[in-house]
Amino acid sequence: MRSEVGKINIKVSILSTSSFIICLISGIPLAFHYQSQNPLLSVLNIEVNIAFGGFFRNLHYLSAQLTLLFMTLHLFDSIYKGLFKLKRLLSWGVLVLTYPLLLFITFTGYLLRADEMGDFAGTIAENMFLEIPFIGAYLQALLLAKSQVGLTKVYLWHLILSFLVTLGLFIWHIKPKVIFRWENLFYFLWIIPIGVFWKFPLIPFEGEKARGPWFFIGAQQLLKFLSPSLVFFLLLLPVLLLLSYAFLPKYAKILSFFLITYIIIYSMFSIWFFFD
Amino acid sequence: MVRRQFLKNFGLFIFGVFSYFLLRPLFYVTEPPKKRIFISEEEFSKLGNIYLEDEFILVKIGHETLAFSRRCPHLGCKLNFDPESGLIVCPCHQSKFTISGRFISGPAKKDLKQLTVLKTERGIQVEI
Repeated sequence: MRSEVGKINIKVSILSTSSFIICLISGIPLAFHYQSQNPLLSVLNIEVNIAFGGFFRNLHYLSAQLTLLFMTLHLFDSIYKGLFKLKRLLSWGVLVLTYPLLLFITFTGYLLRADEMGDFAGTIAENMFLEIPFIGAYLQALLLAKSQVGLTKVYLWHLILSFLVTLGLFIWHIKPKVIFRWENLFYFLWIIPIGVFWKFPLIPFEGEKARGPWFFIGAQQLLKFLSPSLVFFLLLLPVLLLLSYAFLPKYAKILSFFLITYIIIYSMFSIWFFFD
Repeated sequence: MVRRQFLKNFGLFIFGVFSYFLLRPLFYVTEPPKKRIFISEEEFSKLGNIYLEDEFILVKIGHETLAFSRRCPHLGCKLNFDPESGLIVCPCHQSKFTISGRFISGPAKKDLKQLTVLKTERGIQVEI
């Protein structure tokens, strides 16, 4: 079995871990000053009053995007090299499910900014949950409940899930001996100067056209034509495809074809959004 | 072996009961109470034909006063007024409505949700 598969790209693996760790650490000073009952003002307080608060917020935002990006590359890399053949069903499943979990954590982070954009995204997500038959209302109450209790639950999930994902990844997936070496110092350091210069301001108001987070722009365009529950299913589709790699390793090429087609169509919808 | 099997089943049972007690409150949220917003006669006469509050839209057509929820009936975005076309527009998925709340185009497919306006001598009251 070993001979059939390639070797994972270690650079991408270390990059995704290092940006994840930077994201975790930069989140700590923010968490001390964030108040979910008073979200927008506390974010402004972090930006304006707290020493290096703006810097940490930028770094947190940037490293979260980078984590998502490198995690995607890492996932594609492992599929391309056929590494799912080495994993058991359960461990592959858990690893794949980490990805939507990470997306959810990033999304809750996007809501926690509590500016106009975050508010819209939260309301849309909430109403999309409500459109799911049978379990929708329960999911909405469990995961967001933004219209009832504000950002309290969103903030709690942001903290709890990042803690659980970190715990799980460091126990079963990431090898600290490989990551924490002085040779890898610059894998961590390169993010910091970008965080100094690249600002991610709060967006107050965009008039008649509002834009969601970049990974959901395609979904936003799809929602103009399709029903919300169908769009929700379409967003879950890649997870099902990724899970089925472990069940049907013989059909990996067909699955990859579907996955690539999905990504192309989704990106085309994302691009369409800007010309619509 | 029998005792171990029993302990396993018993453990799973206890685990199940505790997960129920743990999960039940997680799914429960308290609904916020209904809001009543009062606008005094003096303030009301100063307002233009269309007035956007945080949660509702107030429209004056002749002597009639209409109030709509500012949430889009599609997915709940905050609606805006476009003075150029004179329409109420949703910024998220571009649904369009007339100022009397009727649906024109876009994915919403429904008219705006009308709120009750209570007129008194001292002003008006909108219930959300």
